[in-house]
Amino acid sequence: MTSRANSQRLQAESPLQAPQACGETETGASSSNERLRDIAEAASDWFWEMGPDLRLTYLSERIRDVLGLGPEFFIGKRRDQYLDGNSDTAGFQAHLDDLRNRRPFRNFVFPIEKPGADEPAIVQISGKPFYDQDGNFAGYRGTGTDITSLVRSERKLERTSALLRTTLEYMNHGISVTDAELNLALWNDQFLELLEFPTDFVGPNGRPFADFIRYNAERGEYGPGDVEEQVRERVELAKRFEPHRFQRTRPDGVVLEIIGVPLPGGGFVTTYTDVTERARYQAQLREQTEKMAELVEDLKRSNSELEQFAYVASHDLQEPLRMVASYCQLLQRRYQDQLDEDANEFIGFAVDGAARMQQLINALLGYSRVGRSDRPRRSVDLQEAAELACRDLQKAIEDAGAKVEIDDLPAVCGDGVELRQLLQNLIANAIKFRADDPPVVLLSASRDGERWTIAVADNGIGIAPEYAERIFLIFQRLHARDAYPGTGIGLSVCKKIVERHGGELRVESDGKSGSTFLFTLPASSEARP
Amino acid sequence: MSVVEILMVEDNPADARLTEEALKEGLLRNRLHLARDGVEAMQFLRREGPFSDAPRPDVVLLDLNLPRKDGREVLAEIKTDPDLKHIPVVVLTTSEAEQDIVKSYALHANCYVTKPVDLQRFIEIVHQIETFWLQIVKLPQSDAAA
Repeated sequence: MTSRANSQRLQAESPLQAPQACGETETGASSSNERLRDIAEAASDWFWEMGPDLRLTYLSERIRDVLGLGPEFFIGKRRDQYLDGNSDTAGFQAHLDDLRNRRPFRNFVFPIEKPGADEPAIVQISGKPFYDQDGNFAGYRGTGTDITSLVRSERKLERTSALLRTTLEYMNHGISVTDAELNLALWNDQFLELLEFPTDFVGPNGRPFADFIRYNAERGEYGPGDVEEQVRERVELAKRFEPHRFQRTRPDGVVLEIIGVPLPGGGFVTTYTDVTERARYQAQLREQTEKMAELVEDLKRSNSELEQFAYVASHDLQEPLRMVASYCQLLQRRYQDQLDEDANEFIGFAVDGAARMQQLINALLGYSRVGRSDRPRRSVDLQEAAELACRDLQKAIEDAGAKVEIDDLPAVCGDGVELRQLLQNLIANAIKFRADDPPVVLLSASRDGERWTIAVADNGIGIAPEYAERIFLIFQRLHARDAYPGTGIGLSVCKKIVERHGGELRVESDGKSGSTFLFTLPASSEARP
Repeated sequence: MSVVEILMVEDNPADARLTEEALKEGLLRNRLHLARDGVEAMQFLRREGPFSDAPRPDVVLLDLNLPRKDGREVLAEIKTDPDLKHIPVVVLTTSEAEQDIVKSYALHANCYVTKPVDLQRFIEIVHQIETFWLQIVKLPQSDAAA
């Protein structure tokens, strides 16, 4: 194909035929010439011409406004002379090739340095060769346009679009976007997979939302009923464009969370998330929590019933027992002289038995009463509590020749009556289980972070390590009643008091040289009034 | 010395008898009246029904756990009745419960005594109550108080 033929073919479709026609006939009406130039300029930013040597001979003044470079910058220069640095690209080489071969060209795009601008301007030019009357190549004529902002926004759009594509492709959620007419406009494969639509269900141009509903209705998703009716109902509902959020369980058990957010101007963005694991976990958690609550409730009830039983039983047992004891004693008192020795001894056993049972019941009552009081918790000075306990034990202390040292005990938060009872029981115990030497009892405290440890150490007979646990059980005794009288409940009371105050009670002993009872109490509680 | 009138409110006959026996060994000439529940006690004190000729007691020995109307209600009624509130009320009970003690004093019991299991101690206590409330303390004359 010759360049001539090429140019003629272009003439039919290019507005540039007009300037060429002008150039070809010197005698043409200048008004017509100007009109055509106006049209050409309106379609672009500027107009240019170059001579047969491919140097620019003319540029319309408009280029100065657009690029900040006037015609004088370009005139006399060839393309490659004002495009240094940009002339290496394949596109530019192809353009030069076009020029060399006198081929018309359209929409050649190249960057050009713009004075005072950070980035080069992007320029698009089109041109075609023209010939003199003899048919000799006379140069090129054409138009130029600054398309910088167009190119930039196109690039930005491309980047955004690519980013969106990648995001949609790699996200864990299915997503669908419908427009105001409820046509699917944007989606990802996960959407089709999660909702179990065929992969080719949507073509490149989307598909009406109603088709998805119909597909679901046909596969029984919405239960029995007329398919078109179901479609209509759901489309109507969707057209309200209200935000929605619900869970759907697929027949295979997969749970989907579907969240729809209306778009301004109509349409939805809807996300689909596989929440099977989460739903299963939540269901398990709910089940476990319920079970746990039931257990706790059962435990609380049985505990409180037990305490109530112990309290009522021991309370109600007291009355008849007191009668047995009292009337036995009254017999003894009034009729001792009239009965024989055996009768007096029998009465004596009955009185003893009743008295011991009374002690046990009282002890049990005391045990069941721990923690039942409605006294408010307040700051309790253990030093003071221990001193008061010693005062109550004064007779026992004097009788045993005991020495009780109380070494700077802290204040804690708790029930003052119970804490004093605790210390009193422990001191009494230390004195009771004494060895041959006069008892020495030392009360001391040490702090470890958030806990106080209170130690009650004695020089008594000690406790064999194998019994270290057993002594805290209710009614457990290690010694014959006549050797060490008692109900075997004192340490159980101590343990219960300590535990109700959030601490632990234990004993350390080698079974020979004394024992040390240690109990912990939360130190943080001391700050509370 | 005039006879002292004692009202005992106690539902357990064995218990009542025991107190009676203890009082028998006491120093004062006394007359023990027994009310078997709270309703009877209030009728006695207000001289209602069968008790229209009842004397005004010098002291009330009150058990807490009683049928029909329990000791706490009786105590509250006595201590809010202008005619009766000056009569000393001794709560005499088996209960050692802290809340019973606190509640009784809150209702203006004159004193709270736990019945000991030991007979000797019980007799001593009854005598001490007798001595303290009927001999030692000065109380207003019933008429003056009314």
